[in-house]
Amino acid sequence: MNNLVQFVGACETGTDRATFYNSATQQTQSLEELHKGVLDFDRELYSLALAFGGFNDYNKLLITRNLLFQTGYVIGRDGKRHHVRAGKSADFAVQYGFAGIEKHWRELEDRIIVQIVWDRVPIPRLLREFASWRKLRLNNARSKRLVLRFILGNQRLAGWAMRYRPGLKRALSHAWGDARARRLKKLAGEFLRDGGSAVDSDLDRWVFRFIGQSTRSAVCEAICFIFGELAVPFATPLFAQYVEALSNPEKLLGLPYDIAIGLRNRLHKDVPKSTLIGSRATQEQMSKKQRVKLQRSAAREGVRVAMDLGSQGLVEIIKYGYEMGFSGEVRDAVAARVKSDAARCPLRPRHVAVVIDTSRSMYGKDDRKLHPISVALSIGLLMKETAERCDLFYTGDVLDEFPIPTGDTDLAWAVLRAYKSEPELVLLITDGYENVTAGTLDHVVRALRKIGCQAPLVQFSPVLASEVGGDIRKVADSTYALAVGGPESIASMYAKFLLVGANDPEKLLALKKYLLGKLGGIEIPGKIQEALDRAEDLRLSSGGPFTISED
Amino acid sequence: MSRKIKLNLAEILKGKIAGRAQVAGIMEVIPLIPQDAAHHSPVFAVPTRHMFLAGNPSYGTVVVRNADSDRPLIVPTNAAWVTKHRAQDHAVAKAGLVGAGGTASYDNAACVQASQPGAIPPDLHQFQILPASLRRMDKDLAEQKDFRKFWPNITALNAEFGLGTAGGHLEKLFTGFAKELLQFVAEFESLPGQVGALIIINGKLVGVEIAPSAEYWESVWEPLIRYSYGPEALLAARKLGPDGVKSSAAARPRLPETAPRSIEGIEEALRTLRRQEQQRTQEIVTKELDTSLIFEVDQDLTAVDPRTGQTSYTLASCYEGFVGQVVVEEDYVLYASLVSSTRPPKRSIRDAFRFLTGM
Repeated sequence: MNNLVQFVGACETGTDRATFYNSATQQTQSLEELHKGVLDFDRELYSLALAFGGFNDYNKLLITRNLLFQTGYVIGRDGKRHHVRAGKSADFAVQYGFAGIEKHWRELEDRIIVQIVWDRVPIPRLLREFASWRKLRLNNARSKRLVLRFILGNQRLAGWAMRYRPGLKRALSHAWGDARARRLKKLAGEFLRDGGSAVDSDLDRWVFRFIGQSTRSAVCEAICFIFGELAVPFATPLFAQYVEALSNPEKLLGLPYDIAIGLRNRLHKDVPKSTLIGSRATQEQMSKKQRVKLQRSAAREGVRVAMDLGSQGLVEIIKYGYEMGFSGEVRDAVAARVKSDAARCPLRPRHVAVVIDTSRSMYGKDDRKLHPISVALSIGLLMKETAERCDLFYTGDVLDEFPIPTGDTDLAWAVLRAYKSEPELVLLITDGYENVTAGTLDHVVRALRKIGCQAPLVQFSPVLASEVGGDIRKVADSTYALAVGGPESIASMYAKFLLVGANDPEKLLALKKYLLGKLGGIEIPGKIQEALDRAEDLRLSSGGPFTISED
Repeated sequence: MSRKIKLNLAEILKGKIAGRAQVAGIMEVIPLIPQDAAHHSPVFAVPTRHMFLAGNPSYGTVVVRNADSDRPLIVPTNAAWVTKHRAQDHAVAKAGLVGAGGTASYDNAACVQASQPGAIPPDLHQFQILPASLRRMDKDLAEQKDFRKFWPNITALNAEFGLGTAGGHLEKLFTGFAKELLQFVAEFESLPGQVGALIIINGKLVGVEIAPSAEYWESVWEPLIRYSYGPEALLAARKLGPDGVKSSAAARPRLPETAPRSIEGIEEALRTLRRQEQQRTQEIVTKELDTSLIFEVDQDLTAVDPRTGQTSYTLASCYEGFVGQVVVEEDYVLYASLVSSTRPPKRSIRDAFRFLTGM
């Protein structure tokens, strides 16, 4: 299964958004083909692949969608492929030679879906995913149960209800069905008005069964709010404040920013926007993304929005710098983040040369602009921190530490300069399209090998090319090529190479054991742990072009 | 008798500097940069932002509205609207000049999607540009008022691409070879300030493209490289066959086979290679510089240039040597979209593509 490495790379960099070269549809199709290939190869491995970390949200959600709605296969110890129905658990009995473990595997898959993916993906993104199920007409008992448990039993439900009302309404309506959703809204209202005495069996069956530690009245309030039933006694402070803010503009302060601004635009146009943006209470309710978005308009209004750059990833901080300028504060945040990422980075070469493609195509498309160059710079900065010596080279005339990508792609010259510094390893970060002149780098690398320059050339690609099947585009035959999404990808790089050995059923089992161990944060059903304990351990040893430590 | 303008390629390229050639497979693109600000004319609207397809009142007629109320618009030569709507895709037969905020109706446009009924709804649609081989048309065809006039040529082109049943459906060529055509966009990058390009395929100059401004260029570059010259390169590779493509690549300058003995030696070899590449492309272009072209004036337009006041622009067409249109302001060519009139003969595309790109 050689495309496992390609799959993991794709999960880190591939999205449903257009790149400089490929349309969104082309990107989506090639990614879906890759996912289907791995799901058909081994369903369990497919779900456990999430343990690699560094997968982007789009791919995490695609994995959960496929686990919930697509059939798949597992490879048994007999080496044969066994079919697994959509929404059903993997047939562990076949694989491990004893019955009864299926339900435990199913439990584990559910936990992976909820705790590893849904809990960690931003809620607007997750709600868009749920909304896509409605469009794609995807629904089954398992998906309904998981969605209802996830939403209704969540301690953050009130905050979500306030901010993401339409998304939650769509998700709940899809899980319940539109007619039942209307009925449950009515029943929840009656429950609140009657002080909790009016409990209909439908409420029990479709709501209270899923609420976990939350209280019945809190969940009924959220349902009423989500479905627009506001004439009920709200005890939840945010809901009560919202209802008051409909008539009293002073109550806008402290509501989530987008909600406050929506109400202001609709009902209280005389309240200046800057009052809301500048309010500490409103700022406390802003998401990280909102703060970034608001920086520019806030500056125009003469208001400062406090920004916690420290909580963002390195690639995001660099993108923020491109958007807002690389002030001292941004540069400090970059430096701090590089230090913390470096502490976790297993790649610690002695002398590395990093070549960064700064050509026009590294700018990216409008909806993901400056993403490729930000990824490239993040790797360069990380290597500066982790390597004993790191020299940076660019393909164009770069004077700035954070250059704007422009011009053509002359990789050969930059790589040649990199080899002149006599490094042990050369990292070339490029999207893989050489045009001055295509093929020259390959000739130069061959010439370098002939004169004894044997330092490996590793190509990191921050984007995938759908025209080469969602893979990365290699610039020279003799390069190692890997997809990277940022510093996190480097951390999981070594583990990716283990996937190459997944063809052997024995190694596959060992790999699953290894991945299960890396999942972290979720309880592994005892029966599965017991079964996997019998598998051999994967030994991680240094090898290939990298000097890597596992921890 | 129509008014005529005589221009050679050197005059068309006046005021532009050639940048470093970008090369992939048998195709080369030489970027053109204005030599100074005086040769950069941002006084025209930008097609991707301002060229609204205002109507498709009957088959063979398209109405274009210039949504820029301050600047005139040059409708790019052979702009095509291949849309996802259940409507007959159309293309214009020439370029056009539309005054600021104005509307122009082109009744010599034609359908590029045979047997599809329906009119394209008005909108700012994404546009394409006809494949270079379809752009090679004589005056009669260009001016003929028949919405079916492109179908025979599209059918022939599809057949050359192995799409024998596609008939007069241009969209089938664009979708059938989407991946291959996309790669041409990937291979060639615009430079800052670029306003044009010379396109060389298999050592021959096949296209001269000049835009009035960098902004305008950005908006036409992808349709040109992907839909106009991409198919042309594929056809040329087909004509050459795998061995021909290999020998064409081998004929280009390359690093010497006898390897240098040091990095400095490789550096020197690379410098020499760059010089040789530059000389080679210069020779290809120089051969054509004196070629005299006769243009027939199609349209005059007077507009306000904020820098010079009232200015007259002339749109003219050429049908021999190179086919296409230029827009001239006095003796300065500020827009040109010309394809050489030599057409590569027929032959299978996909295999050729592999050799063309090494994929």
